[in-house]
Amino acid sequence: MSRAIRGFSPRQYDGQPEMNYPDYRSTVLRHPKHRLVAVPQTLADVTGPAFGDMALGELDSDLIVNYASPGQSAIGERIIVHGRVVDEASRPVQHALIEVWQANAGGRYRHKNDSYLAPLDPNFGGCGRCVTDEDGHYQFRTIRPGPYPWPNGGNDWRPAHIHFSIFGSGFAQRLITQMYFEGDPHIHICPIAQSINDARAVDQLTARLDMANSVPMDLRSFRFDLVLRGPGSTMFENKLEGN
Amino acid sequence: MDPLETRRSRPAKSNVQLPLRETASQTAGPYVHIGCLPNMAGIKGVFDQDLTSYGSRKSGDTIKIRGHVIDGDGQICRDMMLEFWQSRNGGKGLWQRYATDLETGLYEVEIEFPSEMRDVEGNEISPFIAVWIVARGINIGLSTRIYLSEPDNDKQFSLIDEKRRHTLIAKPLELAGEYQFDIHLQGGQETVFFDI
Repeated sequence: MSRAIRGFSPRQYDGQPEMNYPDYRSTVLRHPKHRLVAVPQTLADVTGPAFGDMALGELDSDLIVNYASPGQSAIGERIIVHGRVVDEASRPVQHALIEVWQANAGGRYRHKNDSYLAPLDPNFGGCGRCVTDEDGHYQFRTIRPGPYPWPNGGNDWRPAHIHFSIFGSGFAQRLITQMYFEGDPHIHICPIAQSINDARAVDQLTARLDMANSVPMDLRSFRFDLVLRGPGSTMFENKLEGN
Repeated sequence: MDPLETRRSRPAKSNVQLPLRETASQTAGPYVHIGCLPNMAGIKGVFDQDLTSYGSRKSGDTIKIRGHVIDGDGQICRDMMLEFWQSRNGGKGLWQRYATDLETGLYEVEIEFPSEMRDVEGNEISPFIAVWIVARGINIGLSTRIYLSEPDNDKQFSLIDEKRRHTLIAKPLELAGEYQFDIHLQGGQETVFFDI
């Protein structure tokens, strides 16, 4: 017996960031100078770890309280971030693990290498995770992170952002990206966001204020949908049967 | 109908348009550890333990691979995160992730000796370990592969410039079962990275 496994469609690079983008100084010495070598997909690319049944902690998806002392909560604008993860063929990406991390409301990360003047919030760690449901939907609670300055050779400030790490169904779908907030004037002057030379693709990284899902007198909601690479050709495991 | 009422409760339109296109990648940044390895980053108590593996190693059949990631100035990078994925034909694969040491930049992975591998057409090809690398300054995660010996007459390997193939082969160390695999982001020894 063979088990059919779907490959992925080729990655479209025109909506992706430049790997060498000198305005984002760190890319200069860290981008490959040779062209990427295109190879046909293999079993190792179309399969991947499946974290759908992972036992998550009750507060894993609640950054407002998951690092806070009992009875305390993080300082900042209380928000819900939610959305769906689908592939390029609109199919929900089910049981996908999403990991998020971010700065606190003052723009400071809880990390030994971050020495920004803004203070740490004793009740905010800055990490969370959740798994998508049958419809590809996910949701977490957090505080809106602050913008912050970073050493890039000039007066550069990051737009407020939340980092996302997503595991799709295959290792070739693996994605790390950043979510921005609708209306943030820093997006258009940020070398990291602007390393994507495609306004639509940058807009796709921008979460929308979603009043219908807000909780009155408690939290506002932002909607952020994500798209992973779509299906390509079919391959078969355990049997020499191509397509 | 009160127009203000509808505006107050309006659901957001999606940030995504048709035709659907893959969400753009952005750098994992210098603080990737907070989200992916928080306990290692000193953030205790949120997750019981860091998510560093999936699947299990078969006992007694493991090898160790260690190395550094080196930038275009020849400097060792101390803020990399590497993920290793080894599929198993017909079974649950083995995934592991490591950060390079924040002080020394060394990474070390204990992994199973790769067994068989097939390409999308079902042909048997030389086994390898798939590697994915993210960090500050890397805008799209880099994909490479570790081979433990030079593949012979391999369909995939033959697509690589002959002079660069050696960058994908781990060097055996003195102790049996131990290998070195350095990843050069640039320079004369630049590792082969793939568009998969």
